[in-house]
Order: sequence, then structure tokens, then C-alpha cells
Amino acid sequence: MNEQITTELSRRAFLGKTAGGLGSMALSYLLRQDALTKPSLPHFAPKAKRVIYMFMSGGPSQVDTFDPKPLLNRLEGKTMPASIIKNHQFAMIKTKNPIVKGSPWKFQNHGQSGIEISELFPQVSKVADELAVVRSLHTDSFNHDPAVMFLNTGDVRFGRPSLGAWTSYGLGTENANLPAYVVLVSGKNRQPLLDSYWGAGFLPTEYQGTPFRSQGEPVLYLRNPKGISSKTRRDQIDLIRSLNEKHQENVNDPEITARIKQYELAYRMQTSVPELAALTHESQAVRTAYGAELGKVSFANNCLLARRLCERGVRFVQLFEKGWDSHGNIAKEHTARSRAVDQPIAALISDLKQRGLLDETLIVWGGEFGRTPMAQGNGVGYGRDHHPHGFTMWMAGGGAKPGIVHGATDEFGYFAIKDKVHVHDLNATILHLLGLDHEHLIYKHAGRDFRLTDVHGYVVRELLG
Amino acid sequence: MKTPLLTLVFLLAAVVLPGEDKSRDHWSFQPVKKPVLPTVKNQAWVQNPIDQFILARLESKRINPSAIAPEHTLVRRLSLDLTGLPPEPKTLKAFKGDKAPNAYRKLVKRLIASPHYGERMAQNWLDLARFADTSGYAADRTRNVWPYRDWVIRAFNENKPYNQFSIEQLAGDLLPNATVEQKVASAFHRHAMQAKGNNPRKEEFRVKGIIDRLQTTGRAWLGLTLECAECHDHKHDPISQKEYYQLFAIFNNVPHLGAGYNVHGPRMTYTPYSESRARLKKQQALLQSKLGPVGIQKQDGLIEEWQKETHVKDAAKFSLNSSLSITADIQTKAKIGDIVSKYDWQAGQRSYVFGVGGEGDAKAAPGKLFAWFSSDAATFRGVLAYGSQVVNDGKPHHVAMVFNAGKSVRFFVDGVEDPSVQIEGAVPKTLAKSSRGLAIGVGYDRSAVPNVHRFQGKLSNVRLYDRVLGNPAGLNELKPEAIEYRRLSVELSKLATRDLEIPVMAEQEKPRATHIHIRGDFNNRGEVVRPGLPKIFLPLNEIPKGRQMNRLDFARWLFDRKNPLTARVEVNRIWQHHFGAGLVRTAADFGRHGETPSHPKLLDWLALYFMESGWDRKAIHQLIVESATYQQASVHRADLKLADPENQLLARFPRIRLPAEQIRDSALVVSGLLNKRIGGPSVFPLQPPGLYEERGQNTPGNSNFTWKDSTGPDRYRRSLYTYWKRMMLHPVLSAFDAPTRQVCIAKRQITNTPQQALVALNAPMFTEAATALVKRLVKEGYDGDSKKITAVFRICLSRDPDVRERRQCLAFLKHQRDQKQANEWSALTSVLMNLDEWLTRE
Repeated sequence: MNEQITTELSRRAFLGKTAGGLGSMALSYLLRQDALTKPSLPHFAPKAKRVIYMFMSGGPSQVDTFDPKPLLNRLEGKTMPASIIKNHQFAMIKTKNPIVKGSPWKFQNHGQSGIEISELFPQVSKVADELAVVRSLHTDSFNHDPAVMFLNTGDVRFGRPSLGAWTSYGLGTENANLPAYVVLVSGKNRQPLLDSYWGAGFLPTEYQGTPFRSQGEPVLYLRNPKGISSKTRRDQIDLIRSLNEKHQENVNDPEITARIKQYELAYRMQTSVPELAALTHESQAVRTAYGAELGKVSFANNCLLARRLCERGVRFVQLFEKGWDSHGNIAKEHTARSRAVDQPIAALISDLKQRGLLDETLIVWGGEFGRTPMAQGNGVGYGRDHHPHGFTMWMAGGGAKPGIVHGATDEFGYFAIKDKVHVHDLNATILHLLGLDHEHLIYKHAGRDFRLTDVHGYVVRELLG
Repeated sequence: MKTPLLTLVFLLAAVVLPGEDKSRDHWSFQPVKKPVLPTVKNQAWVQNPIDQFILARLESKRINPSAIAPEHTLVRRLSLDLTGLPPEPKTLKAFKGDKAPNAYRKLVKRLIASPHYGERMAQNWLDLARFADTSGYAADRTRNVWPYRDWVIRAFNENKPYNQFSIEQLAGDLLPNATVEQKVASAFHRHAMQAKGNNPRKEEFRVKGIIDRLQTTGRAWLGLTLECAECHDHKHDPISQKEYYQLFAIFNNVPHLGAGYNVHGPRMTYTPYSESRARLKKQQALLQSKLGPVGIQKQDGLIEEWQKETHVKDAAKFSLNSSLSITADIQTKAKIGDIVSKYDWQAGQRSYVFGVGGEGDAKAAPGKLFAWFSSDAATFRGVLAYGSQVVNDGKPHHVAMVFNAGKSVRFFVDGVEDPSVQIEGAVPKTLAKSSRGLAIGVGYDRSAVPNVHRFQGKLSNVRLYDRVLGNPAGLNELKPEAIEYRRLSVELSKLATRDLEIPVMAEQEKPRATHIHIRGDFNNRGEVVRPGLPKIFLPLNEIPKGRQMNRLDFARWLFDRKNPLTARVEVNRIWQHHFGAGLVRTAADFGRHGETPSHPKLLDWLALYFMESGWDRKAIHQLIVESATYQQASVHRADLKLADPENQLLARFPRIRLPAEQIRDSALVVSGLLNKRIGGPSVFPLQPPGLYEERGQNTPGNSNFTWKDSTGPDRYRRSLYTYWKRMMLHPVLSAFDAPTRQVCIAKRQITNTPQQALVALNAPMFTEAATALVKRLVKEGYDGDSKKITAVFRICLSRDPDVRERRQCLAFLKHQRDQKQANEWSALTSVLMNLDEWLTRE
């Protein structure tokens, strides 16, 4: 009860904060028609205040990471039973009789919960008791961009808002100086990353993800142009303000007041963002724990940056680690990718816990789909193909139940069979942890109400702590 | 997937709702009726009938309209609305000086006649048409469809009637004797996003493309969210799922698979009109008049000359066995045709042949020169030569082939050597004897008498030489004109290779069977349906018996005077263009879930006027901007805050932030940087380096393309010519809400964000403009801070600064100098280009 009152108050405080920043922007929206449909939020007491979403772009293999299938090793080299793969099309595998391939990595039980994790994730294994592993995910699409669109926006087609956009639309931001939804990119180039993955769709553009660049300016056009000093910039902002105010006296348009505030906010971003993005403010010990190195583009750096963003009240941070699409040479590629992410993930979880932030920060890990238990190609250079019927994701912190495994695939790791969790269910659950009811987080567009989960989705109660 | 409870509820609702009858009564499905003009008290305020409708409502609510806007505001408003460019100070000065009673109308007419009118209007239409320079989806490859964009601009400038404008885009390919331009227009429905669509996905992507066509057609012409009936009967509007697939069937006959980005499917070769090409041609024609016709001179070594199709029966004649040359004057549109032949490969009678299109051989290019030589009649031993220049463009050409035995085969078009002839095999030292007699303008296929590959078009002055011609066109190399002529031809040949392959529409002869897709699943096929219109609409007249309704029938039906939607939807969008919101605020949804019109009678009056004018859009624009309603001041009034918070009654003009393109274009205008060239390939204005690379947008297998900033004048083209990348739009455009054009957009969002401030303050294209504006002030001779301040206000805001503004600007400059800060003037011009007044059309 108390908690509910507090959040309600903080929301009002947020909307009422007319003195600066996005609060006033939201207010200016409320004056407009689009915002009339804006729900009063959150719907109920949230467990998580924010999300760090670790998106493993390309699709990690479930049977090599978090879903052990000893049967595959026993049947290695045999033809995959036709009774299982009947009628299925594959993205890349051409043969009608693909071969079963066991995992080259050993699995072990970890922590008190005894969750089985492969040796690809030695550090994450040490925080196994924090994880809620879902082994029964399934999705609708087996090509990259529709599948990423589906996971992120609930539709394979373009034009819908992403989960992060829905979240920032629903909850706003806690920091007037920063965008509510930030995107960080690292990894090895394979599939392109599209603006639409973190787009606002038909929601107002302000809710879209803002990519922080790892090189150059962290936010586009953040730096003053050559020849304009920071002193002159301040004077420019002041002059813009007073000329705008003068004009406001003539035309009385509240939009001008909003514009004045956006210029102030932009000015503050010019100093706050570089400060935030500079990992030099972190001690060497912390950087070492994450495996972060100054000036490098890496998932480790991004994890550390994600923590800094969370501390400053950013609502939704989405990390994209590219390069999990191992059609060939999975042994080498998955090793490289897991090395890039294992230590930083574990460090982030421990760090958040130590700072008392883990309880209110939901971490989500996974890719757009899994990979086939069958080999694509053969010999040392074999890989695995796209696989939508059963794969693994996990959550940690933010109200997710720690130390559990939910759902299961069949003994081949092919179909999710027990406690199946569809992508819509996952998204409904994430929104639920944020205090949002996925059936009521709606926006009217093109003559009808839209929501992230379309007409689907059930909150997976077993995942709630 | 779990059984979706909500879907069930909706399905039940659809069954139970007495929907159909009720929804038939919906206002937008009723015929457009001529309304009675309402009477008003303040008749003096009324400029035209629009004002009577607006004022009658205001008077009924006891609200006064606003005063007329100041002159500078009006000129600025008109200029931005009609051309998308802010007025130059001289335009304003001229207007203020024009004391004629029709000065306003003259200005309106001049602006509507400006070639920039078409550019501004095209901008809206391109959002609807989801026109972009890339294919969309992950690979997001370049597609060269910009001639469609230029077609739209021209159509607006020529004021092509809206019915013709629409019919050509929906079904230009099906029009009788369709012109090249009409086919280009039909590219409209090839703009749907297209992925690679590798094998299992082909059909899915094809179906997606058609769904997109229906969604776009619904939003753009009918104001209906047809897509809502893809999976089930429309929940609000009287469109059943079956009727949806009947419409689907109309668009289902394009010979196109959802594969290969935009490469698959019907295409046309298009030679873009280019100014430089036209200029070169003109120069060349001038030279030719001095030189005389190219190739007219006979040269030494001439054996024989023919003027028409000929068969020389004596095979021994012209049985050359070494070097030879052939020249001819041709004019043809055919892809294939022999010029000279002594070659019947099917019958093993090979010697030599020269012509166009390589007798249809797979290796040959249609419409380009070819020649084959063999030293053995029975088996091919020799050379295949293929030219690279198109000669079947219907224009006269002098063509020549020079065979240098054992050494080379060369082609010449209009006196210029083809720089990239493809040679296959070794050039033989001798030629075989063929039993076929020499044929002119025709070829052989297993026949002693020439019987195939007849040359269609004009063929004259066919000359056979028994030696290598050094100068086959007979240009007198001593004359400077000849050298110049040759140089121009070389330039032209470089331009000519830039023909585009444009995806356009075409109709399969045998229509595809269309099924209902159960629950929208393309793999789950239900009942077969025939093309047809939803019952709610009047039946289609005049379809000849024995054939199915096609796209052209559909397009024509849209413009049946009894169609209640088409005219309303378009005049509403024109209204939206000027007032920021339509009379129906949901521009793409006139269905029951859309908003009802604020002034239904005005909407009908305009729709009727539009139809009666012959679908004349310039007339509607003129009518609107000449109304008193349009000319009101945009100052927010305290009394309206409660009475009409959303300004639906229009007791004042709305202040609206400019679209992305106009913000940048304005900067280009005031700085004097703007390159006013209209049309042409898309350009690459400054963008931060590395953006595509960071996102993997440049990798092979994907778009394999990266942004290279345009240099020179292309850097300063109007923003609508920016390379429109769907998956990563230029960040300056997207910051100001330009849509990615992945789908049809009828109304843009307008946001107000800190990113916009960062862009306008810091993006190099804006700071470059700020600096250039300072230079312009100097160049135009303004001297001293105060005079410069006046000038910069006039240039940027079309008005003089008041005392307070001037004082503040002077103080700013002084402060910068006192603080020893550099670039105080470009800092000030940048301030002007960041003011709300600058960003807003008032």
C-alpha cells in the first residue's frame, strides 16, 4: 500500500516537474491530443524500476549454454528423427536428413539452486542463484530481422513500438537530463542493427531508444561546433531563451515554453552525457572486475556504462552484442562471444547487488531465437541453424524469482514442451514486473487500440519473485 | 501460441454486432451532397465560401475570428506552405510595395506556378507512397526508383488532375498504349519493402507486399484501414474478411515473387532525362550542322552499298576471307535485327554477321551491337563480339563494325568507338566460306533463303568495305568541329550507360487464384475469391463480360463520381497541409473508428468543388489560401483556451513547427547555399561518419553500401532529394520527425525534443549555413552590427527586429568580444536559426 502511494506520488512529481526537462515535455504532451489516451501509470506496484536488456543478436544456442541435452551427445552423428523435424523448413540447412550434434561444452550444476550451465559461462555460473532461467521460450519467426522485431515489438512487421519505447511511454524517465531509453551496441558485425529495433513506432518519437555511440560523440551532435566555446554556447542558449520569451509575449503559444526547456535540457545533456559516458570516473578495480578497457568498444564497457545509466535514472538500457549467428564454426564463434559477455554479466550482477540496485533492476538475457540441435555443415567447422521452436532466455533481479529453472524442451532441445513461454508471455511478464498491465498499456493509432502483446500474452506467474 | 482470449471476444463481437447495417449509416459512406451555404452576420469578413462555413460555426458559438495576420507573416506562411521555402527579403518588399487590390492573389498564383510548388507537394505524397531509396528490412539495399519521385514532382507542377495522377500510379501499366512516364508512375505499388526472401519465405514476402499495397491504397485513397480485415471481418467498418481478399485479388496478379530485394518482378529500362545529356545533344547537333551528316562520306575500299533489305543469291559474291568493315545508318526500337549476314550457325554455314541483339543469343544484350566471325563454317572457330552501347532507342545512329583479321573487332556508334566491347574467343585470321548468300537487313536460320532476325525500323547506307577503316564515320579529323564532335560523343556514351532498371507494375496474363487467408496466415488457405469491391460500395459499372476486374477498373472506380470517399479524403489532406490537421483529424481513417469531421458540410462542399473542377488540386490550394480563415493571425487567444482548446473551430490560424525538410531547406535558403536544381539521383548531405558501419549496415550480403557525403553543389540540394534509407534515415531528418517510409504515412508526428536542439545548434550542415549567412551579409554590403542585425532578421524571419531584440543582439555581440570569444557573428546567426519563430510556420 505504502509503496503504491509512493510511486503514485513520484509519478505526479515527475509530471508536475515543470521546472525542467522531460517532465515538462510530457506535460506539453498532455496538452495535446495524442496524450489524451495516456494511461495513468504504473497500474500497480512495480518490482522493477528499470531494465537492462542484454540482447544477444544472432541467436545463442540453447543446447550449448543453458539447456543441457546429453542425448544429443549419445546420438551424435545420427540422423535427426523425422518424427521431430517433419515438415519443418530451415533457414540455411538444406539437407532433409540433418545430423544430431552434441554440445562440445560440459555442463555442471551451480550454486545452491543447482542450475546447469555450460562451461561457456564460468563467471555467470558463480551467480547462478540469481538467475531465473526460462528454457521453454518459443517464437514465430526464424529469420533475423522479423524475429528481432517480434521479440522487441511484438510484431514481425515494421512500425510497432519497441518494448523499451512502451516502457518509457508508460513510465517516463527519472532523470530529466537523459533519454529514458538508451541503446548500447558492441560485438562482431554480422546482421545489421536497425533503428526500428528500438523505434517508437507510432508512439511519439521521444520514446524511441537513443543509441549511445561507442566512438566519437556518445550522442549525435552533442559537441559544440568548431569555433564555438562553451561560454559562447551558454550565451547563445540565454539569447535564444530571451528572444523566445519575447516572442512568446506576442503569440502566447505554450509550445514555445516547451521549446525553451528543450534547449536547456540539450545544454545540460552536453555536459552530463560526456561525464556519464567517461568510464575514467570508475576505479581501476571496478573496470578490471567488468573487464572494461578505456577507449574500447566492448560489451564489458557497455555493461559498466549500463550501470552508470541506471544509477542516473535511465529507465531502459538495451545492450546489443552482435555475432551469435554461428552457422559455421560454432565452437570458435560461441567461445569468442561468451568470452566477451561472461565476465561483464557476472560483474554487473554482483555490482548491482552490492549497490543495492539489483532488486529494482531487471536484467534480461537472450537472443531472437535459439539454434538447431542438428549441425549445419559438418567436420570441425560445423555450426547450428536458426531455431524458433524452443530456446532459452533468463532474467535476474528486478523481482524475477532467483535460482529457478522454468519450463523445458524435449530431450533433443528441439520443441519447448513443458510450461511453454511465448515471446508475448515474456513481454507481458517484463511489463508486469515494471508495474504495467500489458492488456492496459495501450495507444490508439490508425483507428484502433494497440498494445505490445497484440491480443496475446500471459504473465508467467512462476517467474515472479 | 496460446488461444488468445481476446481474439475470441472480438470474433464473437464481430458476429453479434449488428455492425453492418449500423456501419453502413456511417457518414463517410454517404454520398457527397451539395450543402447549402450557411448565412453569416459578418458578411464583410467572408472571402470565399470556405469562410461562410467556418464563420457560421464561430458565430453560433459567439466567437470572433482573429484579425488578419501581419503582411510578413502571410508572405512567409504562403511561401512555406506552397513552395516549402522561406521568402527572400525582396519578395516581401515587392509584396509590400504592390498596392494593387489583387496583390495577394498575384503572389498566390506566382507561388503555385513556381517549380518548387511540386517539390513541396511531392514531399507529402512520397510519405503516402512510402517512397524510399532502399529496399527495407535488414539488407536494405539501394533501389534506383528516383525517376518515380521526379514524376511526382512534375505531375504536381503540371497540375495533373488527381484522377489521372492516381490512375497512372495505380495502373499506368494497364492504360492503352501506356507511355514510359505512365509506366514509371506505376512504380507506386512497387515501393513496398522487400527482403531477400530466400526460399522458404518467398511466398510470405510476396503476400506481405500485397497486404502493404492494400494498406497503402486504403489509407491514401479511401481513408480506410483495410488492413484490419486481413485476419477477420473488420470490427468497425463494413468490410468482411472475404471482401478484403476480393480486393487482395485485384492486386494479386503482378508477376512478382517476394524475392531478391527489389530485383525480381517486372521492370523497365529507363533513360533518365538529364540536363547534361540534353545540353551535349544540342551542342552536337549544332556541330553536325556544320560537319554535315556523320558517316555520309564514302571511303576507299567500298565494295558495295545497299539501301534496303536485300538477298544476294550468289554465295560466292562478297565471300570475303579477311579484314572487312561495315557501316550503316539505323533507326530502330527493336531488340534484335541483323544488318549484314553470311552466317547460318544452325545449318553449319558460318562466315560473318553484324547486327543488333546477337540473334537473341543468351550472351548477347538486346538492343546492342554484335558481330560473329568464324574460320570454320561447320564448327564455330572464331570470335563473338558484343557492344556495350544501346542503339535501339528509336533515334538515328550511325553504326560501324571494323574487323581486323587476326587482331580485333571494334564497334563505333555515331563516330565514337565503343570503349568496352566484350570479346569472346580468338579473332580469326581468315573467314570460312558460307553457302549462304549475303543478306542485308535479315538473317538465316536453317534456310537457304534469309528468313529471321529481320531488321525492324530504318536501315540505309549499308556499306561493305574490304579493308580496315581507320575512321569509319568519315569524320574529317582535321576539322576542330570533328574533334569536338567526337569528344561530345564520348561524354554522351558515358551518360548513356546510366540507364536504370526500374521496378514497375505489370499484369500476369493468367490471373493467380486468390484464397482467403484464414486468420491472416498465408499458408492457411480458405475459400477461393474473385476480384471485387466490398458491398458497401456501389457496384462497378462497365466491366466487359468474360474478364475479371483488374487494377485499372479499380482505379477508375475510385474516381466514379458516386464514390463517397476519394474526393473527401484528398481535400481533407490538402486542408491538413495548410491547417496542420484535417477537417477529419484522422487523415487515413474515415471509418467508424476515425474522428468525425469538424465541419462536415465544408468537407462536402470542398469535395464537390474538387470533383467539379476536374480534380484540380491547385484550385483547392488557391481556394484555401485565399480564404479569410487562412489569413487569420496565429496568436493564441485567452478566450479560446476553454472555448476551443484544440482550435477545431479555427478562430485563429494554427502555429505549426515546420517539417524536417523545411527546417534544413530554410537554412540553405537564408545562407544562400541552396542548389535549386530539381530532380535527379538522390544525394548525400553531410552525415556523421561511421553510422552505417557501427550498425553493420555496410556489410557484404547486406546493403554493402556506405554513405559518402556529397561534395560540391549536391551537398546543398533540397532535403527531399536526400538518399532515403529506410533502416537508418539521415539523423537530421529523423530528429525532426521525418518518417522512415517503411509504410504509408498520412500524417507526420510533430515532437519537441532536446535532440532537435542539438541538431539545430551543432549539426555541421546548420553551422555551415550559419557561417555562410555571415558571409552573405558581408557580400551584400551590410556594414556595422546594427545594419547587419536588421538584415539578418529580414533574411531569417522576414521582419525587422524591435528595439528590445536589437538591443539584446547587440549586447550578445559585445559580450562575446569583451570575453574574447571568437566567431560572435556566426554564433548570432546560429541563434536566429534556432528560434521558435524560425522553426515554426506561424
